[in-house]
Amino acid sequence: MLRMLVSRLGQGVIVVVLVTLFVFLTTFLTGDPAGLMLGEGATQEQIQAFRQRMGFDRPLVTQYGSFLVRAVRGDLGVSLYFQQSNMQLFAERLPATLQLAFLSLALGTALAIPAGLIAGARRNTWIDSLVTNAALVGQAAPVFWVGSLAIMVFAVMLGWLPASGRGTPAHLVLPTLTLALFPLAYNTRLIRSSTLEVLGQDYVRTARAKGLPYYVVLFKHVLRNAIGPALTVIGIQLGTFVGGSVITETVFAWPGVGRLAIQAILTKDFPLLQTIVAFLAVGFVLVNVLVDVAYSLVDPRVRY
Amino acid sequence: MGITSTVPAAGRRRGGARRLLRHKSGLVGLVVLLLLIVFSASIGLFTSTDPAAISLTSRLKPPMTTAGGAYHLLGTDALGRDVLVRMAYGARISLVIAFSAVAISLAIGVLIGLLAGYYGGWLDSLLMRVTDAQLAFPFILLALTVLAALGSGLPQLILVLGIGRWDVFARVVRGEVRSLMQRQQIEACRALGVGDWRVMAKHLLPNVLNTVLVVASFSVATNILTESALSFLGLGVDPSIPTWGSMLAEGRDYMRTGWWLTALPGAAIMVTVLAINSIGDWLRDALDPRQAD
Repeated sequence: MLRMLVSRLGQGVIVVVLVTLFVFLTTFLTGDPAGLMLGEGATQEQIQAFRQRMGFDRPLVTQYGSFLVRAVRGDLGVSLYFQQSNMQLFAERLPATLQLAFLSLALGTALAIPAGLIAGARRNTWIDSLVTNAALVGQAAPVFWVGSLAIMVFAVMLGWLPASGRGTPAHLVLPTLTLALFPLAYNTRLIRSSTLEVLGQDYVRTARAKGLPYYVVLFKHVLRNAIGPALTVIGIQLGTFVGGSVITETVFAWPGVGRLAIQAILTKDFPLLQTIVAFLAVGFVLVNVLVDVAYSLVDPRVRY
Repeated sequence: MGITSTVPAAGRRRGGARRLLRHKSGLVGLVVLLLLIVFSASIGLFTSTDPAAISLTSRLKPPMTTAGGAYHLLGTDALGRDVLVRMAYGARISLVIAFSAVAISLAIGVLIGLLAGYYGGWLDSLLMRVTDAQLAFPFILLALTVLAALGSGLPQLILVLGIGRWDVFARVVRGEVRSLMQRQQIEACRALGVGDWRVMAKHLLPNVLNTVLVVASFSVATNILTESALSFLGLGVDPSIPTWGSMLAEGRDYMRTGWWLTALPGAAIMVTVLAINSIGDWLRDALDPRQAD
């Protein structure tokens, strides 16, 4: 177990370096952010001074190296646009993002498990085709459209719920439902197909043959074995889920990291973007390690 | 999900043709996609309406109304432009970007997958690390970063989606090639001194094409979703060209007075993605039954 953790974290460091390096190089293709930040009226001297202050006049490798060194020490620089510590900006926005992400993921998965299990157990019945088709539609519907429709119907037309912002529990309803759609649709299909696989196994037949009630077999034997493979894929799908939360936060003006990232991109605030990217990559690596650990807890046959 | 079919190989092959016709949703998907292609390509024949023609007297007309001497099946937007015509032009953009990007991903991914699966070694490990890094980061943020840095436009979008998504093809092809390499046929070729490239082109490539086709069809759908999201966020093609994503973004300002501006472009995206995904399921069932559930 410990060896697995160490090797996974080691690989994770490589991934984080690759991702941040990529964004670092890309953002420098725009050329110098100095001219962009200071505007048209800036004199040559002002630009020079700014570049020196920000370190933009040094070679790229040096800049990336010092970025890494400072990052490890916990100093991630100052946002060009907000004129605030990047770290502080990120930390301020993180709780909102985590709240929305956890709620949506929990809701989506909580509904997906029974839906997928029932669809798999009742294969080729009307309930299976209902669940499967609903999941297909859910996966094909663009997140920004679902969110916009939700705002239009429930906030603008009916006036039941707030359209944007964060504060009361009512503010959570529409963004959570919107963001939950993807994990719901995706996990339903996943749990259904792994349920089908498990149902064909000998131990399920044995359990049925020795007279255990159907629902006991379904929840004790089938569910426990079907959830393992689903877990791994949930880890892999995390990137898509984070992409979905970026869009959801933008649609609902949710004050989270995703919206901050879009703001950073649109204002070419690359130091801020770099910070967000680094944290997201680290978060992704950690979640995937956690998924592996959870897998071995759910399925005792898996030992590291 | 790794389900092995219990149908013997011969039976599977004989069932193929019947399965093709029995797959109703696949047929429906194909018809929808073909209609969309034909309609968007020939929109100029049906109507001379310019998608950019502004008519302030016929602003925000709901679907199925006549205004300013023209019938608007899907209504008009805040500048009096015909929504149906704009959506047809938007379809062109979405389809051109999605299919061209898949062609690029396919070419890069199949080549790298073949090489990694055939030679193994450092190339293989490098590929796997790069794939990990790609998985580690929401693609849409990477795409946004690149587009913000390079500027956005049709070629940039095609390149970003094409270069950003080759890893799916590479992984699938690598896996297939690795298992094909165990076969005696390949071993025999190599023992007889057939060149590496010839083995890859004549013996490996034809065997992975079915899988590649299935992956390609799902990739087209993913690209349509990503492209529309990028347009929605304001980093799509030139704002003067209508796209489904940018139409939806503009429509959000008129939710109270023009529901169709929000509802219709998104519905078009969903129907297109559904159609292409059904074609993908269809191809998978027919060409690659091991992957079907």
